[in-house]
Amino acid sequence: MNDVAKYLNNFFDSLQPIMVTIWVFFLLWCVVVIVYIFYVYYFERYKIFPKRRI
Amino acid sequence: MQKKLRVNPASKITFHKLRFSSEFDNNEKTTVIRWDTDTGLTIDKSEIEALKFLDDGINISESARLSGKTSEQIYSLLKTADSVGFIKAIDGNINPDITQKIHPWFGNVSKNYFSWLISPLIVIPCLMIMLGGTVIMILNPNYFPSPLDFFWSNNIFINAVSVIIINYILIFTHEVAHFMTTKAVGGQAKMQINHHLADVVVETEQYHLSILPKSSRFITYISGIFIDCLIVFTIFWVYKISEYFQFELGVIKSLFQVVILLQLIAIVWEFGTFLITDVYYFISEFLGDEDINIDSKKYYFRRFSKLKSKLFRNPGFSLKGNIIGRADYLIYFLASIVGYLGKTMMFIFVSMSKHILFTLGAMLYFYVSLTQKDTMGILLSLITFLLINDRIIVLLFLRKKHE
Repeated sequence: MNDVAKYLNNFFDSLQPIMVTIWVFFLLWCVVVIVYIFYVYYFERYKIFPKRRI
Repeated sequence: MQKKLRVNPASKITFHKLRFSSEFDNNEKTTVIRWDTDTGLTIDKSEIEALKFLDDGINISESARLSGKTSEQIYSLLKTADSVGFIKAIDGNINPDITQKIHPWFGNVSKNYFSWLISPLIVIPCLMIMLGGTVIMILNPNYFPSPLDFFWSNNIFINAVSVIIINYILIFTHEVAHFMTTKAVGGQAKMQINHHLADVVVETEQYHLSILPKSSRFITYISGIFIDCLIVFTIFWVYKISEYFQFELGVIKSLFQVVILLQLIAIVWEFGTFLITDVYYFISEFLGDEDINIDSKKYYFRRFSKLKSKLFRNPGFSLKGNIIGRADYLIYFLASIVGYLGKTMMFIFVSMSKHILFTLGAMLYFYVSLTQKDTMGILLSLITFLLINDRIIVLLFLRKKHE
């Protein structure tokens, strides 16, 4: 096993699953919220709906 | 840009395929549309006659004489007709087309293939099922699902997949109902994915409705909610029958509970008039104002500022008789309030709890998979997160389309 692999192994072992979970989902959630805000306020600020689309 | 029509009294006009409505409104006006673009005009009886004479190949001065109009009136009528792309050629010279063609689905399929759907033979039994279903629902409140019924299996991934698949099937059914009833009453339509603000919606774009009678339009608007209710009440019937004959529905029952929950969200969603939904079209058609959302907003804004200034200038000013104002705007306003309240309640108690529970479930799955070094579990939990945020993916694809 070379040094890089050893280092990576140590790094992953030191991570606590609960913190990884919280961080991963927090970041994913941030992506979702940012895309929504980006979408609504930058591309479709105000739109008059076309007629008869149900 | 206004373009000039090169016509003289002896000119003969060729029109695109036009269709006339047989209904006249209170001002003796009716609608005429161009078939392949669905652009339309609202004109009166004599103008319709003039258009029909011109369409038959009679020249302008003769058509004016036959319909009792002056040539100038005919010119201005032709100018208006040209602005909506009615004129194909003048004296054999092709007129440049400014309008966009519509692309309805199954445009060549006759309405006879669909009209059985709105016949009393189909509608009355459906209404009876719904009536019986209502009675069953009232007598058996325990049939009603709770948001926890979204989580019918132990695996969060399976729950998410089942909810997504059922949701899209139900949305498709709703839109198919709109599509088929639109065909059944003689209109044309196509389905598409769009968004109303940040809400992704599948919608049916309807054509040629303006030349159809009002009742036909109501049928097309109401058909979506009708099929939603029919599905829910049919499920209540199935529950009752299974209870009566004592057989277990098993996993089917879990899926039915998901169907009912999703249908409830969908039905309440339709009442959010601010998103221009089925109920909005129904109300606006009923009150005879196509832009009632904008008109009522303007009306109440003006009214409120007027009242405010009056109140400040004259402290003894009585509000009596000034509160209600126009009845149609009041009806729309009240309907909007009910829609807002319903949507908010549904959001808090069902949609949001569903979303939070699914997110927490996905997190728990991720955590457990991480501790057990289960790569497949990690992958599935992340896919679950994507699935419950499916709208964001659709939105990203839609943005490209609109650019």
